Amino acid sequence: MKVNMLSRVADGMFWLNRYMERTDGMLLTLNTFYILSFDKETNDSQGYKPLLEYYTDLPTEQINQVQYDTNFVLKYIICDSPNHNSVKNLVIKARENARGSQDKITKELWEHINSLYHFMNSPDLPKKLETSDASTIISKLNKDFLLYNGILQVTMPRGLGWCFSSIGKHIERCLQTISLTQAYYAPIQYNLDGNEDLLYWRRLLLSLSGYELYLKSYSNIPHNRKVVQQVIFNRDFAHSVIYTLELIDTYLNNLFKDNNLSEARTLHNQFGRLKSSVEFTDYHHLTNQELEDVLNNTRTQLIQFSTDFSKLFFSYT
Amino acid sequence: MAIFKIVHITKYQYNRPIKESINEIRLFPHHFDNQDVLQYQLLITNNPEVEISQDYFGNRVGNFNTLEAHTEMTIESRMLVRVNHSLKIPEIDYTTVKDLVKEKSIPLLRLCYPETIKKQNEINTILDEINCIDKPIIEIAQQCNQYIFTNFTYTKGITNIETTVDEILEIRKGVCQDFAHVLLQLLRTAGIPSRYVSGYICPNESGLRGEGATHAWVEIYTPKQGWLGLDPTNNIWTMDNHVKLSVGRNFYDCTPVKGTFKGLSRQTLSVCVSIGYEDGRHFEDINDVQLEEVSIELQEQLDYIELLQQQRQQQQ
Amino acid sequence: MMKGIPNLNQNGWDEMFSNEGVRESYRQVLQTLQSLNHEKLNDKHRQASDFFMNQGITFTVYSDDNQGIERIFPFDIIPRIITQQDWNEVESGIKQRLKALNLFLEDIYNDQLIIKEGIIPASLIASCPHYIQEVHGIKVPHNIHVHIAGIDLIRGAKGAFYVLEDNLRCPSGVSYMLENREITKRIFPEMLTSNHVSMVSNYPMIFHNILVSLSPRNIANPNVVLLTPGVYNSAYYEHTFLARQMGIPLVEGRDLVVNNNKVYMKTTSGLHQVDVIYRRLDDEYLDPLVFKPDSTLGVPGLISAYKQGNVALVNAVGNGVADDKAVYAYVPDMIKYYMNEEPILKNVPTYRMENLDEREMVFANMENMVIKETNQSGGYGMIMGNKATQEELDNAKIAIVGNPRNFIAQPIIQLSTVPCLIDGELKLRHVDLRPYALCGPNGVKIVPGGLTRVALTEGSLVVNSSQGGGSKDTWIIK
Repeated sequence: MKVNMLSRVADGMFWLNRYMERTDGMLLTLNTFYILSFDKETNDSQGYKPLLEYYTDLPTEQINQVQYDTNFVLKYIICDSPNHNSVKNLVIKARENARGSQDKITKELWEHINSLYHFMNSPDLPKKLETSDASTIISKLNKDFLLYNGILQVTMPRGLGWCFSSIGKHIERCLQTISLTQAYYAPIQYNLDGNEDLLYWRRLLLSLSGYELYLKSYSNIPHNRKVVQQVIFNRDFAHSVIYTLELIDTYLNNLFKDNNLSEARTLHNQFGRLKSSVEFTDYHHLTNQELEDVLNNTRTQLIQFSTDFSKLFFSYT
Repeated sequence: MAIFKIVHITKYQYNRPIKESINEIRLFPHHFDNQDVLQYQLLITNNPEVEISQDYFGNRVGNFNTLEAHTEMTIESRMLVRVNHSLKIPEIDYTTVKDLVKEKSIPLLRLCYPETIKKQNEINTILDEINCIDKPIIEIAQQCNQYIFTNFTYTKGITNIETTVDEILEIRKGVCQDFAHVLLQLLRTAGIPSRYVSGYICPNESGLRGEGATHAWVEIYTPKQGWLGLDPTNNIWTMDNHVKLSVGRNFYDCTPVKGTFKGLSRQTLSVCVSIGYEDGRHFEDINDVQLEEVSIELQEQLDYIELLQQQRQQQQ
Repeated sequence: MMKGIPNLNQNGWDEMFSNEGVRESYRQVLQTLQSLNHEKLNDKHRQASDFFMNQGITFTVYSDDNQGIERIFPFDIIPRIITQQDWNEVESGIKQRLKALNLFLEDIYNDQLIIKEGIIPASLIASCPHYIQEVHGIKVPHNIHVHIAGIDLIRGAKGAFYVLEDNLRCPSGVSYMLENREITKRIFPEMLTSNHVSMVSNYPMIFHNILVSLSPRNIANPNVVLLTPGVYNSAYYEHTFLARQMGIPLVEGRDLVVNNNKVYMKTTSGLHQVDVIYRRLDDEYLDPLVFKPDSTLGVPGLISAYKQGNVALVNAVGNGVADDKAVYAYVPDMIKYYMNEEPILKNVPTYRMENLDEREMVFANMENMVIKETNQSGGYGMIMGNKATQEELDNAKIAIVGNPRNFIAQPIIQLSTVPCLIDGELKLRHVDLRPYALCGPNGVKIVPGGLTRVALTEGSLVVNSSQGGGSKDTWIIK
């Protein structure tokens, strides 16, 4: 039997997972920076700057002012109401989308999102973040997002909804990886021959859950080039650009299996070009300029793809 | 007896493509004792399927839609109608409102309920002046008709389809549709079942007033003679130059074209009615309809859609 | 340990206790409750609250800073018990009533014989705002207009059941009936078995079968959907719950479009025709071309598709004429007229304010009366004569004289009480009962149970959730 999905519901599941993935990535980065902020001996020139630059709308001057202010950053990122990208607001938006598509989401997943929502809305949360409970709260939240992904994997049916969820999730993840990578390469002018040490790259790799994998993969290439290999080209790394693009491609294939619309073919080709341009980039001989371009182009094209994808499948208003 | 060839063109234009245009029209001339429709033809842009049915008042209603994106919709209604003037002036008839008590029909009862308005006192005062007690229905109706003709000024362009009875009582000016609404309020308050009529008036030498060719008037119900037409704009009983399209409680029940669409666009509406007479004379009236109130709603809708789009962009 | 019997109101009926002590039907439950200490009881209470909170069975209250706060509808852990014998009367009474109401709706939107024969005055129907002339003469599948009804019953001072209201439009609350039982299974599993409590959980299946049977297209898998006003509606939880339990898509108005008088839903693979719509949207929002022109919740062209018989709407459009509070007074006459039977369930005496004698009598006895607006529900537009200030009563009189058709009066009936757990003690609180009746081609089915709503404020007779009410699980025991 052919299963149909309401465009609005598909849209809801797509955005639910984009928001949840965004929050997950943001919390991971926050946790990384928070833990590292206790290592006073590190010569840290950035503080929370990469986090604030990518995930908030704060003006540069203010970021410079607060980039070492843990107290401010924790509250601003986690539960600030005016910050429309705070964990609290993202969870609210995720829950709204989940509510709209509730009949296609498993009870387990819904209850988890819902309890997360109630936790984020508890009135004493901002106060607790000022105390030593802060680290417990961040760990709890990190665990909650791991659990979300687990429940998603274990309970959700693999139908159309799964495709839309996964595409949303991996578009978001890919954009995060690109942006954070840019945050560490831009300050050093994308210099692939420089010799930034492991302490410098550790912050990026931990933020992308890729530090351990990096340490394990032995190679004598200097860090600046080797990190690029990991975060962009490593097919075994769940946050790499190429891995996320390949997953998106798989789910697109599923969606387009029975679809003969010419718009669908156009969109599929558009994505194919985007993916190939990363796939056929040779990182061994990559120049600084090429690195900057591949990151920029992939980012722009992926945002465009997301817009066109929404137009094709979600035009119900 | 007169035969009219009427062409009624309603044209909507949109500055950006719209989609899911869903419409309901009441543009079919009414069949009744004194009016025969000899020919009828309906032409709509893109030739959609039109489902025709009857509404509660016996009007013919057409439903159609165009889902695909478009920037223009024209509805052209052509008809050949014969009107017999046997109803020119009603017979003298002494039935009074009391004779209506036996009427147990829900449709008639519903046409007896006046609207709830703020200036009901004014309506009551007018009826006191007329002094309805024990007068025949026909006399009361004629006097109410006369009252409006004498005390209200026919002025185009200051009222629109959303103008309320309260507003008309305040400014004492308006067009046929406003006069019809005030007359309905008077008649219903006096206990006389009465209904709104939308149609065409086919002007001739006698120089009748009307908003071009599309016109509105009122019909009252009398136990002896049934429905009788009264035209407050011209202070007459309706004659063989009134062509009926539809009847109802008020304008809303008789709206010639009702529709909704989806899309971010501003719409303009123009209506053109031309009437051909047997002797070859021809009358034409083109009207760019002011969508005043509608455009406020539309503005809200536009704002809303723009807001939605902004939100979407933020989600990116 | 809870001890003793709460003080009984000598003028009322308590369902757990009589003057001689605990009633037989509650004996086991009372024993169990008494065997639990304070802490255990509070634990169970908390467990229930958490269950509702985590499932999102909440409604949102907006405060000044525009931050929504989610609240649950209070649940009392002590069940409300009805014996099989009492239930039999309720069941047959509701079945009889619904048959008559369906016949009435079919008649009033077609031949109107009941008016022609002078049983109901024409003016009463003509003046009813919920008499929807746009659906006059529309043929509905199997002539069924009411597919789901939530009939509100109360028990008077002697324990007799009365019908207070027939909710025939979009009755809500059935998800609470089902979820209340789910939570009881978790907190008192042993009590359910030992008391032989009848099952309610097959409600969604019965309802789904009825929905499918109404499809205008004779196909194997008709497309049945639930139409919700959206996530901001206070009953949205219930809509998702029912859609999920029946496995049908939950749609909003903007998900649907009418093409050539057929209704379609917009999916990621194009338009798919819809056959049956269980709509939780009031009549006046259904179609902006016919009703409120500014409604964005509905579907333009829906009524035209309905008129052509291309889509079934559940409940049918226009049912409000039958649960208008002034028409309610005539339901016993309908039962006699259409079925030639005596009503099994009593009406609460109802005075129509259009009748001058009745109005005078009511005005002289305002303190013993409840005044209701005929077209309101949910506890709105209601004045309790014994609680209102003199000013409120005077204003009510002015309003009644201004528009008598709009009001009815009923004597204040002392609703029966059932003990509730309040601050760790048994306290008597007033309750009503809303069983959910389903009408399909094969007759009326009522799952044995219902929603018991309780007025949690001491002495209050208003049980509506919007007015501080809570609920209880309702047991029909063999």
